[in-house]
Amino acid sequence: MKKELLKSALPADGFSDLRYQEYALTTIKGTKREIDTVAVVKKNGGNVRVLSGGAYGTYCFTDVNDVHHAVKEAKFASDLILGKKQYQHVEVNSDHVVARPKTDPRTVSIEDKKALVQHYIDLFMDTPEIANLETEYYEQFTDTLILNNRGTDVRQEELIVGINFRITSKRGELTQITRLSFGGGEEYSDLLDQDEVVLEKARQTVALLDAEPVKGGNYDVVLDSDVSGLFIHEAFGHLSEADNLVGNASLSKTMTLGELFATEDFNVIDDPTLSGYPGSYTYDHEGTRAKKTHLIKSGKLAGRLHSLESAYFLNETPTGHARAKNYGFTPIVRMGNIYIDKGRQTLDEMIKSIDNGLYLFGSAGGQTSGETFTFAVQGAYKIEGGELKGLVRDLALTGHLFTTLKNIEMIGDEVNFSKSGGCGKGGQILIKSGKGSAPIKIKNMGIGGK
Amino acid sequence: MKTLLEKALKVSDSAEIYERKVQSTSISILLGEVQGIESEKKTEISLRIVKDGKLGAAIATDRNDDTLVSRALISLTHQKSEAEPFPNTPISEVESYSEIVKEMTTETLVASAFDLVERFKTLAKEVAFGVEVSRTFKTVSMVNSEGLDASYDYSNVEVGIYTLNEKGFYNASRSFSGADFPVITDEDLLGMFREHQLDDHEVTLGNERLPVVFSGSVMGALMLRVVGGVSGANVTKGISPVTDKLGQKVFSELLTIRDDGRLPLGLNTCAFDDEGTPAQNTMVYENGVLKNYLLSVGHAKKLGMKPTGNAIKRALFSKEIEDAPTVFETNLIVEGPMTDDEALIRGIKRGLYITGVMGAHTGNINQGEFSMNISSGFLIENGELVGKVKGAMIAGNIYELFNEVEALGTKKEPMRGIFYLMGYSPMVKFREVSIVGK
Repeated sequence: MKKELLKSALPADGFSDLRYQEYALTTIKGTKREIDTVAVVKKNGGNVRVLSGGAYGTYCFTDVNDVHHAVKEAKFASDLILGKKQYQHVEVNSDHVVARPKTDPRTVSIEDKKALVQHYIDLFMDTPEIANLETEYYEQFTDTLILNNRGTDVRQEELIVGINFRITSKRGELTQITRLSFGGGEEYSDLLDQDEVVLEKARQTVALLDAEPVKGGNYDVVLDSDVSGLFIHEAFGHLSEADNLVGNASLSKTMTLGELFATEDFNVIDDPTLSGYPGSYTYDHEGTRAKKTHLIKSGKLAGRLHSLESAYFLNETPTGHARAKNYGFTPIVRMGNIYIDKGRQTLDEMIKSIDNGLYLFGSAGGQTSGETFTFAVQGAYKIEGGELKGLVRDLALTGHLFTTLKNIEMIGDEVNFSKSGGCGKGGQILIKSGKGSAPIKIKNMGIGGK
Repeated sequence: MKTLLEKALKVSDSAEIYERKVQSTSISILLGEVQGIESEKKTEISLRIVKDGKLGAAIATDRNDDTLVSRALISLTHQKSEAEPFPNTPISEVESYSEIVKEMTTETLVASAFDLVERFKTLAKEVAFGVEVSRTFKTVSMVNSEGLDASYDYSNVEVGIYTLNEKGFYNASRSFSGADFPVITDEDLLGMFREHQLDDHEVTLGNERLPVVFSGSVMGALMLRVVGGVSGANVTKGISPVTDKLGQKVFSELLTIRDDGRLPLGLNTCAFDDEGTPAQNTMVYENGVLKNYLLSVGHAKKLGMKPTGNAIKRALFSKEIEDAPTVFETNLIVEGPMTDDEALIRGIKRGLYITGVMGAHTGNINQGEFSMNISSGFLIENGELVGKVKGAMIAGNIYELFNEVEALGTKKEPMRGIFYLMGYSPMVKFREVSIVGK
């Protein structure tokens, strides 16, 4: 990295920062039984931001020799914006974070990785009625230099490795899709010895062919950790990203700290400093050290996720949550590892408390528009008279955030994190965004079938 | 590019270099204040090589990256692939860029964005709203060892405008896109304003079946499923519901769907696709009859058909240089006998007009299934929009729904396929759709 050249381009006045990133991605992708793509991607580029006028001017470049041009253009753009915004205090850091996994995927040969992936593929595809399988091994390594004109000089390596499966079972015209993920941290060893997990998922995917389609309506539901994690990510996590509040006074009022959002047992935290999950990191892409942040404490809105800009706008402290998909994008506020903290009830107690409801398992993607959210799940068990009964399929959920949070009646006593990350916002898919939760019980949840 | 091609040919039987140079600028304005101006200038290169009938690929941001060829060899060695010869079909010019947009400066873009801000402010007075404008200019060049040496310029301007409700959440919105600066009429803005005003007229629905009108924009959520069905990738894998249905009537005879990569100044117009196949105007469904699949070079070979110019470097959620050419739409066009938009709505006694959905990316897309939240939908009673539907979902399968088409509107809107726009559709009225309400 041409650090001195990059450093020399930063203007002294106002606020400016610069990221330069070397990006490497190894993927092994398969369809059905065959591995059809093996790719080793390498690309480099930078992204500069200048705040000399009323808001940021930013400029992305792929040729490092364009850095002076990039700074000039970014400054020109910022100066076009009326006003003068300046940060009084910026946390200044100087560090070099090196990824040091115990079992480093970068030292494993492509042959061995391929053999591992093929082994799991064969386990799935040898199961009768598994009709299609999409498999992806990914290993993303970034080496990012973050500089600003207040003195921050952070170089950070980030590594994430995992395998994602999307499994389709088929009988006649009926198909069912489930998902399974391994890894999501830095360790290659997390991907090994997962045969039992694969076989169990294959069995579940086939069993869903015998499930009844869910009847659309409102149900009392228990969400497993994976689904609860998706729920808190979609329903509340995005709203806690404080860049939504910049320039939006009405939403800032809606999100006043201290407002009662949920029952007093309910606690939501985002913590990138936990190690080994998809959303784990040390510094965000503005060079701010990541901070464990309480978002809901005892049911009350307690905090939010910040970038430098959103913290300045709300006169709060940056939490280190401004991140970008890669150098081609400007950092926006993203969740690290968001989770619902543990409560007091066992899963068994939650199920026993429901006379007629559903136990939902396996997340399958969701979306939010602020107040309302929706997400799909892989399947559910009926709960009748406090006991788990047969499987139901084809479930999608929807709800209104504020009503649903208040309808959370019970919180489980054990937190588990999902092994795959991933979140889309502002045209950026970020795989390093994690989620977890204790299981939760929600009353009167809207469920749509096909 | 030729030097790199020669270098690659030293270790391979045939080779192809794809290069794209992108310059873009985007501006966002909220409540009359600029929130930021973002620009980029990127050069990205992709190499594909064939040796002993196998294909390998690698990408870089620097032509002089000396690992590019060796990485392509790694991919060639390890992936199972049956390489097809790189195409060298004559490329004809298409109108894929506008000189005005090419020359557009950041200042002009800011001024255009503020023009729109002023116009909407005049119409909507106190309403809180935001405007986003982005401008892209791109040059794509390809050379291959079969003799292809072609390039085209591409421009695009995308304009988004949205309102906020009293709590500060997104309310009504519209998108506009094309190679030229899109024409936005007062009628467009007034339509959005009327939808905004209905936010405080909340209505709830029960579980019921109702006539439903999808706006042109929301048709994108359904067209994602149409593309999944006719994608050569899914047809050749045998996982498309329309495998072996060429020539059969699959949808209502009112529905015609084309994929027109050559549409003058369209939002995805290109001279050739990312494998070098010339862009085409492919009839996909004509009066409901399946006429063609969308095919890459490889899929076409397997099916004994011709490639359609739809092999595009993208995925559902990304348009990165490393995305292998995969079947996606260019400008998908939905058409049929036209009814006046207002008359179409006026003719409905009780029904739903949907202008926004969430969850388009979930469910079994390739099988045509959908189960989505209605994030913006309006109850129609006696031909009038009477309130905004809250907390309802819509579910079904396009292979049933698209046989229930009753009418198509007139004005075409860009269709939204999650992150990206995918072509143009008018509003479409369906006879009956299942709604899950309270």
